[in-house]
Amino acid sequence: MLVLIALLVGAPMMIIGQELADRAQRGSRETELVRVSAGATAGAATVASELATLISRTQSISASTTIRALVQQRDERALDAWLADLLPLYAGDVRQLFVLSTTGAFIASAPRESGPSGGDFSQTDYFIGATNPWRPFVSAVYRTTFDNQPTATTIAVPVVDGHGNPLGLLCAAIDLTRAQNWLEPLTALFDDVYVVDRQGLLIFGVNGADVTPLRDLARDPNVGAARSGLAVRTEADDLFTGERRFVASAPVGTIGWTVFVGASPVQSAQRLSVLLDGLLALRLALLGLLLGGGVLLSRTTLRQQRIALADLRKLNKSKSDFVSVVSHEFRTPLTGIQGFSEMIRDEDLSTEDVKDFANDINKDAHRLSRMITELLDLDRMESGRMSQNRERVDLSALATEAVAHARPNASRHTFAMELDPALPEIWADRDRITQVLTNLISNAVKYSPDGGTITVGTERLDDAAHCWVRDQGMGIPPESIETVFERYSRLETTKTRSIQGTGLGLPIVREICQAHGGRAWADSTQGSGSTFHVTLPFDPRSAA
Amino acid sequence: MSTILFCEDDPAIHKLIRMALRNSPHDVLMAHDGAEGLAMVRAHKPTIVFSDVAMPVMDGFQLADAMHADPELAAIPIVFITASIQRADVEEATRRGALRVIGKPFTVAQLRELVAAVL
Repeated sequence: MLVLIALLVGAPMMIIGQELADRAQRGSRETELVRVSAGATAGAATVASELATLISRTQSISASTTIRALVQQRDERALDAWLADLLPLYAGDVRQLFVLSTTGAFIASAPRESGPSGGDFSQTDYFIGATNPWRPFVSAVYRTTFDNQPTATTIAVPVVDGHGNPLGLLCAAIDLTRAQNWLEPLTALFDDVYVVDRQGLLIFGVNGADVTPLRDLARDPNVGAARSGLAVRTEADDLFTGERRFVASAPVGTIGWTVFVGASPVQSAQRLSVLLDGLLALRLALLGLLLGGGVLLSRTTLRQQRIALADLRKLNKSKSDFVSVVSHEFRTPLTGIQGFSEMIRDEDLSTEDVKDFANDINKDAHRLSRMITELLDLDRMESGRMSQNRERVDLSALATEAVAHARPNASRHTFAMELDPALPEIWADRDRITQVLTNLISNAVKYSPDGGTITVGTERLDDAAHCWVRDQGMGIPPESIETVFERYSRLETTKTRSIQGTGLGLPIVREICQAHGGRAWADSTQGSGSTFHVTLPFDPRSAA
Repeated sequence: MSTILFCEDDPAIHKLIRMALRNSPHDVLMAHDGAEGLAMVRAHKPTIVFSDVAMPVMDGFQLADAMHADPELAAIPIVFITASIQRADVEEATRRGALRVIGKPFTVAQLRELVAAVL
């Protein structure tokens, strides 16, 4: 009897199990390739984001007035000491900070004693890369003599004066042994994880095999393919062990590095057996479900609840972050209003001082009121509650009006118009589009404090009107070109700190454009200006 | 006469502090961020440092850490002026040996009393 039951229940299960196993085997090659490819993409994103953090930290240091003054004075000892103070900001990711002159001569470094002694750095790839034109640059990996470390890679960032003229180069040498930790989480999932620079040299790798940094891998066909811009996803012999591997690559941003990930078919087979074990477990679980009633079900519910709870916690945290940012932003103008009015009330001031302080109070009150209006606007837009009174709108005419409004507050600027007179009308909310243009033009004025020409243009771009506002101001560093559209992400550098803003102008611009089915973006060359673009779809009737 | 250093990145508050303390018998120095502040601490060895917490380049906490790391500067007391007076921030400030933590918005009277009390 028992044997009969075993046959009746067991046989179909065996058959189902075998079928699943066969399918899994057939699908495993493709699955593995997808998996290594996803691993390479994740690795490249991690390396890119870690580098971006290091670059932006180095840029914020290079923008300090202190470094500017010390480089101008060539005060080497003070610069050494100052760099030594800032080195801990990198929490160990950077081994050395050093400063080069505009001709590539060594000026100062921290730590000093282990640093390169004097000399000419004008032939290094980072000096050449960061000075033609002047921009942040990540070097290829190179052999180094200091600190008993075999290899290094350096982030070079220009130090510029108040007018954007270069004074020198701030360089941060990355500790590549620390950089390996960035990819550590991937080692549990793959057999090989390694990073190759733009010359095809191995930067670092994390795997069981002996990985010698700086090894020239340029002749490997996969490395060659990746260097020519292809994303590799194939089966190949391992570079280090000669074993068979599923290999995939992904580029790290635009710096010329590539992350490779490899998985051995043997390991895949093991994973397959884990999968089969999983199937067995599933079968047992089904049996358990039948026997044990709702136990498993309640467990699933519990897990879902846990996930929901985690989501809620995340939401709550982002709400708290938001409240803390907003309260911070509000308290600053409040301090001015409270303090200056207090002095007017309690002190015997000259009429001149009273007027001066009243002006400060007025400015802060306006700033506060603008922040509240914009915050409410943004909230309405993001929750889709913004009312829209759409009508046919002549974008070129609105741009002309917006410029006329801005002129009185921009005595140092000249305005140029490049308007398309034949531009079809758009279908839009007039007040909102005015808000977009006003925000963009007032930003152009604010972020070019030395004056210059502000160009406002319109043109046809496929089915939409394209409008741009160009200034000749300080520009935006490449890593901030997207984040300027985020709330409260005002560019904070020594040059922008005297510029007041609510940090909400550009997020509002983007929201309005998106609500109209258009887009908003920026491009910029640091030191020579920015251009902000918006597109807004034509009125379907007038575009025809 | 004592020397007081203020580190604060907002230009309006800069002016407020300068105006509030313009008749003070002390030397009042102003820095725009933590890094500039640290350079001024080294150069002038102030009697006390008042520092904002959220600043570009180097924040107030990092400034405090850098001062503590230097035996010559470790003894200089620090007062944090911060717009976020949540408990975690105050605890963080206290952990860094802050003499006081005052929240924004502060009044001119509070500022003057504090300066008088700590000097």
